[in-house]
Amino acid sequence: MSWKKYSVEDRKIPGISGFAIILIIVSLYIQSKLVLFLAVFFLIVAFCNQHYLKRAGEKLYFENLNVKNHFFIGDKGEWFLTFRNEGFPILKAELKIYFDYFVSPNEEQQETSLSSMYEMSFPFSLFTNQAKQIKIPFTAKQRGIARIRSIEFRVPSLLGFGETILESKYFVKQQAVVYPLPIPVKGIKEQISVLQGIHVVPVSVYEDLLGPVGTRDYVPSDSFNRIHWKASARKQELQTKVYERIAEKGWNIALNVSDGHSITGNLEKLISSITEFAYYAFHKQIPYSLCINVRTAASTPFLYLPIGEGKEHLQKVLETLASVSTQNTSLPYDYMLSFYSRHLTAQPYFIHAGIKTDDTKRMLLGISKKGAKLFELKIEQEFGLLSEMVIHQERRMLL
Amino acid sequence: MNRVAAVTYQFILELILGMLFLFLIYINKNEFPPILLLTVLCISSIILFSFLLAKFRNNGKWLYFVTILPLILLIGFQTGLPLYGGLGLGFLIYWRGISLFDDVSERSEAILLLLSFIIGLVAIIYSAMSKYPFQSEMILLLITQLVIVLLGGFLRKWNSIQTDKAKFAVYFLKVIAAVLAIGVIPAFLLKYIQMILFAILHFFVILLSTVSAPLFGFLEYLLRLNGNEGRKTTINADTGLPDEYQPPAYEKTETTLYILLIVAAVAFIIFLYKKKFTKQDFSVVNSAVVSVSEGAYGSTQSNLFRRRMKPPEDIIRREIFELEKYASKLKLGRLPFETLEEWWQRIGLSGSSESIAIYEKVRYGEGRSSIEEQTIMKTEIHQFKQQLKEIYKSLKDKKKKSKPN
Repeated sequence: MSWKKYSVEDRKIPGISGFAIILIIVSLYIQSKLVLFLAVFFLIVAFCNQHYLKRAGEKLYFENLNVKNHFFIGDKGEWFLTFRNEGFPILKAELKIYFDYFVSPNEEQQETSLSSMYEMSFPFSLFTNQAKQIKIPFTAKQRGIARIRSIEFRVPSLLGFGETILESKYFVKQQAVVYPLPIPVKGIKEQISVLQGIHVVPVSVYEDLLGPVGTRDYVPSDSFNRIHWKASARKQELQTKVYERIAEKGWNIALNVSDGHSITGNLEKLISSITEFAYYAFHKQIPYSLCINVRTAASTPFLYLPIGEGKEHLQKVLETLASVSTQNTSLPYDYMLSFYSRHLTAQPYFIHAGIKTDDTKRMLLGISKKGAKLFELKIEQEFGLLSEMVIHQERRMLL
Repeated sequence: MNRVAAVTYQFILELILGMLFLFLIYINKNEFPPILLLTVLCISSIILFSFLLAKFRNNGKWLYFVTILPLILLIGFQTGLPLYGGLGLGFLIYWRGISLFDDVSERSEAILLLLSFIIGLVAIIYSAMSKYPFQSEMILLLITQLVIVLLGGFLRKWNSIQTDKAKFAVYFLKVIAAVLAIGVIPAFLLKYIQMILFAILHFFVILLSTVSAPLFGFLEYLLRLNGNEGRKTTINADTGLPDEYQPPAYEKTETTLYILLIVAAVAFIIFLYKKKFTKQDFSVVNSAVVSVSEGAYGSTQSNLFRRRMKPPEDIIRREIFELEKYASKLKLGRLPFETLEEWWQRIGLSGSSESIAIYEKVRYGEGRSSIEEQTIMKTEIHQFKQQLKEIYKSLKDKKKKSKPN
């Protein structure tokens, strides 16, 4: 790891060096060995001092571990920082690290110098050809992905005049993902358990060709390739294969993080409600996909998790939810909905969470016209509320 | 304990500075200043005083007057120190002790070192001039100051670490030993260095003389042409008069050299101070970079940027640009947030609305100026310049008038 480096030499040193040079001339004139020694001694000290400041930290390596640890709120964890010094010895430097406020240091007297960061500083000494590991314990406090934003060294000169400041040039790869905390969501059981049983199998037009359930008598509308020839021979009557009727029982959750030009104030509660839904879906083995209108650089221009279920999917969902922060750039929600209905696999159930405008209603109407059932996740005081969303189709265009 | 050590360390540095100053006074008397007595008295009493302060807090101050101050006076009296001197010393130790004890934060020793070097340099030159017999003691004091600063800085850091203490100590001692060894070499080679330096100087003198000789020859030739042949030198080498006393020529050179050296030293100090002040401005910007917060433009930066700005290509805009420059020379410049009209109104220029319209068209619209418009602007700006001069003069007069009041 290379460092951004600034050296701050004591401003009086050049001045004293100037006097030392004058002293050399004086010493030659008055023929004094002591004066010459004094002047040369100081000049060499000044030179060594400058050389140290220039070279200090040059071969100080930081092991940038690519580690991602996951925590629930209240869990305890540690940052690991490993340094190896192959250059000049570092004596009583000050090591400062800055990390996000999602995790907080265990000590009570922490400082938050920048509004969203914790700053910690320790004394640090490392001799040549030595390595040191520093562990910084922390407690997960808040949903989010915490990173060490910056590592800074203030290395004082060994000879005492000035200091060199080293700042980490690259991102520290260590991450601490703090999962969101679920809040109770009313209506989640009622909406999902009832509807699930009614709709899935009988209504579907799709059949699982690998799951035959039996045969029935042939009717003229059946296609020839559906005829079960062996069964027909056995019964001496034409028989048609019957397959298991399957329907996609997937859900899609779309979260609107924006509120006009800013991020919605209910962000945390909405995310917590979605977390509750995610846990519920995990227990009931319900597949679901997730869209959040936070801009990304991928081919899908917003945060999107394709449909899935199970433990891995739950982890992905929780991590995605943890990654949403108020500092994200949002994408227009309508744009996301339009992209969803055009390019992504549409799910039969659609949950909308967040603010909805008239344009959003129109887009949602479009989605419901394609066969999806709409639900809305609202926040009522400290709870989430999942209810069916009814949008009346108006004859006139909404202006 | 650490606090007592820190106070003593700082006080010793200040004491050495004071002693150098004392030397400066005693050079004139050609005596050795009572520094041994001072050292013993001051160091022992500051250690005792800081102990008292550490142990009894505020009461330590009163205890000082009861215990240490009488002791100082007594020892001073025994060793022949005048009473006022003893009292002065006592109060000095009291003052320094309290102020150093209250604020033990790391102070920069470099400033003390710088002051020591300034006083030391003057004292060395002065002592060499007046052939002071205790010059070497003075230089040793300066060397001690330097060594104490180096050692103190290291020990303070070294004391705070737990592991690898021996390694760091050995490393530091090695560095210091190497520096000392390198420092000793030129001291032994003083004669040779001197020889080389004077040979170089000699060479330059010869070079200068060979270069200037033809010039002087030419001058002489010119003088001869002007009819000065008849004039002869009045100095006769063999006048037959008895040898009169003439002050040795080298003494004059010596004094001039000393004066030159002192002037150079003073000039250097002034230069340093100026540099320091200009650097401080810069360091404000620099420190902003260091302390992570970004995006703050210091005032100095924007000034630099403005200064380096190129004049615009368009003729009318360039004219206005020149006018702004001219006005800023007369201290009537346009402020960065002012529109042209506001500026003119503020300083009292009578500009026509037509010219403002032309400027705005060129500056903010994408239109180009016609030759007619250019001539209008040029004549108007010419008038403006004259108006500016008048405004400037009247302002100056006003200031002059207001001053005596």
